[in-house]
Amino acid sequence: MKERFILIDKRIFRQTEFYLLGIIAVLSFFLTLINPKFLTLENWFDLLRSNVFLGIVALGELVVLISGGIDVSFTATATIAQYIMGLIISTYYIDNVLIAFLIPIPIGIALGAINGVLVHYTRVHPVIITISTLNVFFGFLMFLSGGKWLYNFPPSFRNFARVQAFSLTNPKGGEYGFSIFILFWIGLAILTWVILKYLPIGRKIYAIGGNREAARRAGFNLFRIQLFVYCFMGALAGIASFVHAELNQMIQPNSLVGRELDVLAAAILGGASVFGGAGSALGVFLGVCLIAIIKNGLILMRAPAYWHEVIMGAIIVGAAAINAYQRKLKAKREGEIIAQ
Amino acid sequence: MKKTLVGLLLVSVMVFSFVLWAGAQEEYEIAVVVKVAGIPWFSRLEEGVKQAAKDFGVNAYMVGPTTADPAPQVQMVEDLVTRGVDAVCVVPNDAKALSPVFNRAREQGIVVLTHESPFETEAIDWDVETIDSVQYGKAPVDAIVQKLEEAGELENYSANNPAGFVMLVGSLTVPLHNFWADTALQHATENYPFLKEITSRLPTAESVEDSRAAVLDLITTYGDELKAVIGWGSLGPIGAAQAVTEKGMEDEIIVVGSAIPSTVAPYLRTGAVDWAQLWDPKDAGYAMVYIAKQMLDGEEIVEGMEIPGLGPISIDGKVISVNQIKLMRTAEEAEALGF
Repeated sequence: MKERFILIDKRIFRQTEFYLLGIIAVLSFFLTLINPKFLTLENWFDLLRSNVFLGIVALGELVVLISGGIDVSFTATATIAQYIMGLIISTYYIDNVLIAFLIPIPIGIALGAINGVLVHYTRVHPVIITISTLNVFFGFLMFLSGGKWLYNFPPSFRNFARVQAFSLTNPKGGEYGFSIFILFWIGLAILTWVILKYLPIGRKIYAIGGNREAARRAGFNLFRIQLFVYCFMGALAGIASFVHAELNQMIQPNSLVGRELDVLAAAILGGASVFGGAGSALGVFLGVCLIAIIKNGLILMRAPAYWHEVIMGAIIVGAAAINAYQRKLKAKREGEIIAQ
Repeated sequence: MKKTLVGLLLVSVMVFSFVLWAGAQEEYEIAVVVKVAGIPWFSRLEEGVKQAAKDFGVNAYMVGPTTADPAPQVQMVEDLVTRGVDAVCVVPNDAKALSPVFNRAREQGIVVLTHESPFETEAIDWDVETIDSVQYGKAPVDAIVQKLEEAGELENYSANNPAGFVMLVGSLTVPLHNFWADTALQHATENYPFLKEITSRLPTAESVEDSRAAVLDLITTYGDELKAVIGWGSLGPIGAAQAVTEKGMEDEIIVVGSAIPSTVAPYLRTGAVDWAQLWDPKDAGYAMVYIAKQMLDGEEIVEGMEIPGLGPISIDGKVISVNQIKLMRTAEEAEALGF
């Protein structure tokens, strides 16, 4: 009994999530020392809400990465989804948030399906496929929209941005709250976790990412799994694009494209491997939180903007290095077991 | 054999007619190359180019790359120079990257003008501006002081208890934004000792999302110290306005800066944005084509020369400017500008 306890304990130390939590705790400690406002609920609520878009698409990217693929076209998918939604609700003046919310999701799924089909049938590396579809999708949108910005949405769409799960009052009497969009994010993180951990499709995704050939010989339908993965990414991009449009109250065709690397960085920071087969929803959630805390912390520390990029870059390199080191350790351990 | 002959004949007819057609085009060909095609800002500029083409009887048109990158823009200008247009007017993504092709163009006798690039003038004929950059830099600071005065808060602040402000620029490497920010800072330090920049400028102003997040963080960090935000990129004030609205601080925090009239009007109405300024890109397009036409006609560009509808020009080094700053103090003023 005692032995088993120790075994579990040891395994926790090897997990990316553990390191991330540790880094977040240490960072939070120092940031609070520098600026006590860091550890206020108000700051945390603001911080989480500002990163909902990043958080949601990073979950989708996680699933793609686990399957051994990669998707960089989701920014274009999200842009198209939100643009069509914006066009519909402002042209026909649809004063209903639920309808607005439901428009981008099928668009995201459809575009995701295009990726899935292309990746499966062409057998070209998904980076190439999704860079191409990124350009095709985005090019079409720019051509058809003329780059026009959309704003002035119906009142229900504007008001929904202010909906809060609960609200509190700060010492100065200002009101702040837990935005409904943070619930979207947490809900989707739980959904992703359940899919990956408990549903057969989730285990299959790990299987094809871990060893594609073995999965194929085991009789898995690779096409169906890949289609699911890219459609899931598309659906999340659709939901994220709704949140993004809500938060900004403006839809610009060129505001999302170019942010692919932030999302990849968050997913990789959270323990997802570009070689497939590894990563968890909790890890990616923490990865996004870490990036958010660093950005927030740099302003709270009153650091000049010149340093923001340097520190972000350094942390991502650091995280990648830790990841690689862990993999090496793991390989060594496995080697020892085989030797025994 | 017969087929080849017929083919040759056809080709030569085509070439000949093309030469005839090209020869018949005696009007000047003036190409305007913008940072990126297909965004509302440059579509507005295109209106000015087309208007000028009609007014002055030249073949002027606008083109631009699909992304705002230096490389495709350089390529585009190179192609135009090779084709031998009469003038190229460029809104540069990176003026340094363009200077070799500008030099080549001028060697071939092509007129080279730029816009929004008053600091990299070595390789060009003229830079055309539709604002007085110094005044454009100072005006938001004056607007902040005026708003403080209107609120009756001016006497609350002194050099020991300053009103803090923050500036958002497009990026730390956009020369014009940073020139305005430097000018504003100098103006504030020299004339309004009760104003203080509480943290160095943040590079968020080309994105609503980033500006919004940055201003939320700034409110958390500085609390009451933060009295005003100046956005130098056209989305900075919008993002700042959303942050202050979310915090219910429309009356406490003054938001000013560059903004596109139709976008900023709703925020001016709620008071989330207090004051905005801009120039009309249509004027810029019009002015560039006009100056190019004058140069091709062999006219000398001199101080006080009149650009139709835009007033007399002033010249500083290689920079031609007319002062057409559009102020937006109310939502109505913004809407009246019509773009």
